[in-house]
Order: sequence, then C-alpha cells, then structure tokens
Amino acid sequence: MLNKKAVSPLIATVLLIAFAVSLGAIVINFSQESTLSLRDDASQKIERGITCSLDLPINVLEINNEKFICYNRTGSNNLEVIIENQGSASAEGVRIFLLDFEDNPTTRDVIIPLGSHNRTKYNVSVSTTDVGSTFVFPPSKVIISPILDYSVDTIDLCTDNRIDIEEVEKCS
Amino acid sequence: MVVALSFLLYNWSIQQAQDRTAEIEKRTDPLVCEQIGISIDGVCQDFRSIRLNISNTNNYEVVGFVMRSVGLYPEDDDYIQTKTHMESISPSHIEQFTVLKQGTLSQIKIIPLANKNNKNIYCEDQSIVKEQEDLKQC
Repeated sequence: MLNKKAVSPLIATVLLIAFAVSLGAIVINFSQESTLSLRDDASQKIERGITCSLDLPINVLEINNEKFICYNRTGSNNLEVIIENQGSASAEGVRIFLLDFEDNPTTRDVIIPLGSHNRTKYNVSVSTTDVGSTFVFPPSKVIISPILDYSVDTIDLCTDNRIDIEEVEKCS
Repeated sequence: MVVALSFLLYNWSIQQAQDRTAEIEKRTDPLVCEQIGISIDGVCQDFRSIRLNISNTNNYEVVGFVMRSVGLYPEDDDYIQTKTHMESISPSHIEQFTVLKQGTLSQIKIIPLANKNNKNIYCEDQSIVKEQEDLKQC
C-alpha cells in the first residue's frame, strides 16, 4: 500500500487551480443570476412607480370649464366620459368605480386603450341587476383610475393618478 | 483571468451608467418644454379646415404641434379628433397654418412639440386651449 505513487506536485497544483477556477465560475454565475434577477425586479417596480406617478396623468376633458362626464345620453343606466391622457405612457383601459346616493358601490373595468397624449371616450353601461350588487343608478360619485396592465390573473391599477368626481349630471 | 474579469466589470459598469443616463435624460424632457412658448391668434374655421397663426414666443424651435379638437355633437363619431402637424416655427416667428378637419369645432387644444435627441416631446404644460367663442367662421 505504501508503494502507491501520489500525483506530482505540478499536476496537483494545476488540479487545485482548475478546481478553484471552476468553483469560482459557478459561484460567480449563481450570484450574477440572483443579483440580476433582484435588480430586474427592483427596476421593474421603480419603473412602474415612476410611470404611474409621472408618466400617466389623466383628466376628464373640460369644455368651457365643464367636465365631460354625464349619464343617460344613449340609453338608461349609461355613463359617458372623455378621459385625456397627458402623459407619455399608455394605459390599457380604465377602472370606473361608482357610488350611488346610498353609498352602494359598483365597479367597471373598461379595456379600451388610453394612448399616450391622447383622448378616449368611454361609454359604460351600469346594470343594476348584477348579482350581489345593491347599486342603484345614477351615481353620486365616480372614481376613475388608469389600468396599466390587464390580464386574466392581475389588474395593475395606477391609483396615484385617479380622478375623483363628486357631481355627475344627466347629459343635456 | 484578471484581465478577463476587469473587462467584464468594465463592460457591466459602462452598461449600468448608460442605463441610468438614459433614464435621467428621459426625466429631463420637461426641462426642454420650459424653453418652449407659443401664442395663437387669428383663429377661424370653415366646415373643412381651421386656420390659425401660431407665434413662437420663446428661444427654442417648435418642431410641430398636435391639435386636439372637440366637435359640436357628442353623438358624432368624430366628436374628438387629433391631428399632428409637423412644420417647424423658428424662435420669434409667426407661421400661418391650415389644418383639415371635419364639421364645426367647439374647442381646440394646441400642444407644441419640441425635439430632443431626435425625439419629439409633447409640451402639454405649454398648450393653449381655444373655446367656441374664439373659433369664429372664416
């Protein structure tokens, strides 16, 4: 047993260096992947926050100092509003939250794009026969928020730039 | 190995710096708009077009403008319209424009466009609104 030869010091050194280098490469790869993933995640969150707060300011169109929001022009239980997007980001649609005079709520997601620096007219039918809803038309208060991203699983709302409208009148 | 690592680190830091610079540059767009100023007079409309004189009242070139208009009847399909007009107005100059449209308008909003690094910037804060009483028949 004692007659067995060991590897030469040179080969041992080369093997050790090769082992250290490959281990180092594995560690660098792993840490790079996790760091990049963390960074991308943080960047996405920051980018989304900035987009919501700075790049997507919305308003209800005003004509002669009157806001263009009213109900029942084209039918019953129907709300009409023109939204102006003054920012450089686009929204996939808007969420319209309504409260009636008894403070009963109802919500409509309207997936009609609101392009950057553009205006979009929304015509929303608010059925009062929704299951579980006690909402009674017309609304006393309307809150509109842009939807940044809409999918089956998630709705990404920009509540920073929501519009609150206290008085909504019948269309003339 | 040291050289390779240094090269990787150098590339990575340059990329990081470029990303941040692009982001900061994007955020400085409103500063360009601070140098933009327009005034509008001589506005009149017929059924097919609207005429207006736009003055560049500041020291930065206006490369064009966006006209957002509102018609008379909300039921119409073309109640809200948007037209982009890419004709520049030099500083301290007045230019006359004729913009095609449909129907009678009850409001126009003119948003000047500035250019920075070959990108058009919408200067919403410098926009001018003209209501129905200003939109006389030609």
